[in-house]
Amino acid sequence: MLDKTVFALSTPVGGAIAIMRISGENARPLLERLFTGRIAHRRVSYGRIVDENGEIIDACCAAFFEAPDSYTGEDMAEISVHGSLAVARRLAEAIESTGLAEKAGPGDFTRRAYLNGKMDLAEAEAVMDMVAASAERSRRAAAMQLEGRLSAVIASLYERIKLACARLANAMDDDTGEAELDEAALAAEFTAAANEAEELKEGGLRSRILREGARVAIIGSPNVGKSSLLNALIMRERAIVTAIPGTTRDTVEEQAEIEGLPVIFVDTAGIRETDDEVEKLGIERARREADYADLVLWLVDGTRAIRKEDIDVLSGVRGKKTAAVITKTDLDRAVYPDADGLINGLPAFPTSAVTGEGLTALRRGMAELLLPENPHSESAFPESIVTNSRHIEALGRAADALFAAARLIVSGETDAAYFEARSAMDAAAQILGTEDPGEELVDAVFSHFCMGK
Amino acid sequence: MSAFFDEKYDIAVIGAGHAGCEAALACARMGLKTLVLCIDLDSVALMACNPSIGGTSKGHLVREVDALGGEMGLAADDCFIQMRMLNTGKGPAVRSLRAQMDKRRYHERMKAALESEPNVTLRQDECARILTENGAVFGIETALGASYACRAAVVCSGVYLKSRVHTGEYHRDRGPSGLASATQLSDSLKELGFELRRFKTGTPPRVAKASLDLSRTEPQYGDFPIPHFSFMTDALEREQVPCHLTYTNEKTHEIIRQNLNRSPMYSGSIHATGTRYCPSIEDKIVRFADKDRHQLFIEPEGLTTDEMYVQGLSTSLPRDVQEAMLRTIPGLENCRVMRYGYAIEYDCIDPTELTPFLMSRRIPGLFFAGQINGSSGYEEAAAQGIYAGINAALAVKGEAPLVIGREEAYLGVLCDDLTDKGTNEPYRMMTCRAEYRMLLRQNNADMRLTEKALGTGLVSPARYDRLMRKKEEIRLASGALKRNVPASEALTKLLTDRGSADVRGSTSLEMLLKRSGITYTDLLAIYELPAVSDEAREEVEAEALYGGYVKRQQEQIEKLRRMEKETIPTDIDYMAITNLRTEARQKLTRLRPVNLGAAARISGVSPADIAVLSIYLKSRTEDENAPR
Repeated sequence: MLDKTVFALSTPVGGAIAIMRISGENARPLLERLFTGRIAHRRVSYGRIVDENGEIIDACCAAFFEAPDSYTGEDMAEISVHGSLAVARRLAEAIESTGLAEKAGPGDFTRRAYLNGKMDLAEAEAVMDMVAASAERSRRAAAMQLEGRLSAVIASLYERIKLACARLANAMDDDTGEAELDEAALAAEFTAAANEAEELKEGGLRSRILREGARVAIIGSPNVGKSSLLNALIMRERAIVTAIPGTTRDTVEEQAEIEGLPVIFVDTAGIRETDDEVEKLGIERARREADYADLVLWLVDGTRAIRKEDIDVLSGVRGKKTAAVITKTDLDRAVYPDADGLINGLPAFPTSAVTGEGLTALRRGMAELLLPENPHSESAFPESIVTNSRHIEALGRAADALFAAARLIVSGETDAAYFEARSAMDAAAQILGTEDPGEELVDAVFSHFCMGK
Repeated sequence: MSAFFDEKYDIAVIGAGHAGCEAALACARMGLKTLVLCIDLDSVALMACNPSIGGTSKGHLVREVDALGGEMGLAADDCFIQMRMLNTGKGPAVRSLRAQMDKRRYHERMKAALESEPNVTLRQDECARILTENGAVFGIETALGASYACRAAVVCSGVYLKSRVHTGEYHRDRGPSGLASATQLSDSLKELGFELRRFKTGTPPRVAKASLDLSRTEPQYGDFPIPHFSFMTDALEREQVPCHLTYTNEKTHEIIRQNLNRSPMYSGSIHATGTRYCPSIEDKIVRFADKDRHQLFIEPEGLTTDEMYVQGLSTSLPRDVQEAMLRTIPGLENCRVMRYGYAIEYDCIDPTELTPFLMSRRIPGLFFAGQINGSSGYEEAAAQGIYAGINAALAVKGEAPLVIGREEAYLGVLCDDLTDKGTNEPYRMMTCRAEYRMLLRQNNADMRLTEKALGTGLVSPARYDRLMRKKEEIRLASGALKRNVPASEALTKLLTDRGSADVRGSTSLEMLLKRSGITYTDLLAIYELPAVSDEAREEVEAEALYGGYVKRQQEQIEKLRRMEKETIPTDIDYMAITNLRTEARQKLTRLRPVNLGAAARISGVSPADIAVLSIYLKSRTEDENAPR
């Protein structure tokens, strides 16, 4: 039953180090086949991992634990290799090709630990709960496959920005008047790079929304009907999954499905709004929630004219996809969208939580805003190459800075354009882990331009 | 022991080039008895290469030297024969002043400044040895056999250490312009444990003006009104002299290509590292083979000489090749060469052996400034000179060093780059090296540095007064700009003229000034605003235009300051911090950054390494504070 030796990667890919765990009676012979270092109980030694063809996969550290003094109670080996996708994959292939072990199923290690009396059932269950996040597992698996492509794409974006930066730097540091700047061409180049960054970011956002759910923040001044709308949206959908207390004590998150999309509503229903100064409360909370939201629903009370406090709440969420929702349309109506269907320049949705009027349109509208029809969607969706939210954020910063650079270069503010372009370069460098973009830029200036006296 | 010395000084400055002059003047003006040795007194502040001061980012350095109470800006304002503001169309942060000099007058002007300083003893001799006692500087010996006591020495030896010049097959152990080279100090530095490196630079030929047909070139004139370097200079009036633009062509390149084997760079006679910034023409032809022409800039060397400097044609090709290639250039067809171009190689130290304020990490009292540190350029030298001079004087007085960070000045960037990262080629200041460039404008060098230098005594009351007046003007003008103004006919007309969108309702004057093309003077014509000096006006405009960037950069600086507050103890053993990557451990061990901020800037040290180091430092402090 437990006679098979199993192996699995026990760290997320993308870290500095990847740890491959092997448990079972073949752990030792397997290590002897692949690892050049010393193998002894509770000893970590340095060596190389060599595959069956004698090819070195990586320099690494390996630890060995003899039964029963291991996590699973069986013979166990842990091999720590560099955290790159290619290395981890080659290591897994090498292990499998020995025929001595097979890939572990979810929770295999913990199950073994329980059966070998290494932990009690409660402990084991707790661990299993963590492991059970199978979606997370598949996300990681996908990330593994895509990591190599991501680096290549970001690296080419980085090179593109770097060269444009070097062009600017050359113009700024030119004493001769010879380095003529073709502003229009450079602006076009910055815009193209900005679009590239933006597209990568959007693709990342889309895939994240599909995998993890879109975060939708409901904001609005007190008593505009935030809770009622939320309840109406999810009750009608009959798709409440769980109510999870959010990370901030005051926020409540609700998961639901909207037009087939997984959505996490972030709501402030749990807060007694009289607790705080009305104005401050609304604006600050809106800002905080909007920080993490993919979409913001800005609620205005349909029974009264829009007030300053409504606008103040909205002012905290600049730069986010936002829709205006007019509530309480079943009562005397005081707010109407303009001829284009907009309020404050935002797409508007009149709704009634009581009658259900407008909720279908709102749901469709939300889906449309979250995942707009995209001509590139076939390629960017659902398997975007950008998955890490830190990367998505960095790409967003890069895109914004590049658009700004394009604008500034045309208005003759070369120094400011350079500042923006350099920020974009730094953002891309952050994704790649480039150590000294400044020095690379100086090198680029010198290798591409004949500058100086 | 004192009987051993011929004379006693507080500080010895070795070399009187652009670094040495500033260092010596700073020390003397800070009240210290200063000996200045120079291999040839006719070469004090010699402009051995191009006859100009300033230029992109270098102009910033000149203003900074001036703001600290240095001499270069004042001397340049005295001796210029043309002033020109560069990069005027690229935004206030990168605007930079360049001045053509009468190089002979500049030399005389600087020499006179040294001579008029009662604390300076200027002497023609060559430093042969630096003497140390208990590991610290206590004197020097000279080639003529004299020995002088001093408590600090500033080595500003330029390109003179074991220098060797090359023109084609001609190789001689010489300094620049046929001057003697310094043959002994290198060995003394080696004895003191410095690892010496070989760098190379070069200069183009000089031609006789009378032999040129300047009508075939494009003249470039100075600006009017005439801008100036020093914050102490008032309006300047002087007749200016033009420079001339011309170009190489395919014929020139052909001659160079055919004779590459006779270039010492390519024939293997030179082993030193040259600068990418200032490549020889033969380098340019080889590296940028697709360029069909290179711009040349013919600059007068002075008003009382016929010599013209051919910028862009730095070369060490043989004499006959230089003649042949010059004759292919429009305007130079019949030129008579007066001096041939040459390459020069010389010894310099690895500047990572120095603290950020340019003192040896191992030998207290021993400072280095200028090309000995691997930099290039007069302005880079002068900036290091005044900085090393100030800190040498402070060290002798037993006071804390004056440290100028990269967020405060180009000077800070220069010294930080050199001492923190080091350099593999003659280092040239560049605008793109200064990450806080939006804050470091040439116009606010005084606001950045003058108050910082107050404690040194180098800032005269008059200089301080000017700064205070400028700040007050800026305060008043900025205050007045906060005012809201309604839309009006006059405003609409102005905005239409400048191609800017009209205003609906009302707007603040500051918002108007933020618009590109709208100046303070424009607004002054319509609204009641304080009339301010040009200096103050330019600052107000720059602050309005770039307020957002200024704020962002200030936030970055705050972050940096927090990191720089985390000092790294000198006895730290990086090899024992196992979580650091090997490369980071080695680099940190070698460069020994003084704080976390400096560590983060070392290439080869990743953000992850910094995180590890930061945690290590915190746990270490906690251990130390833990009750025992």
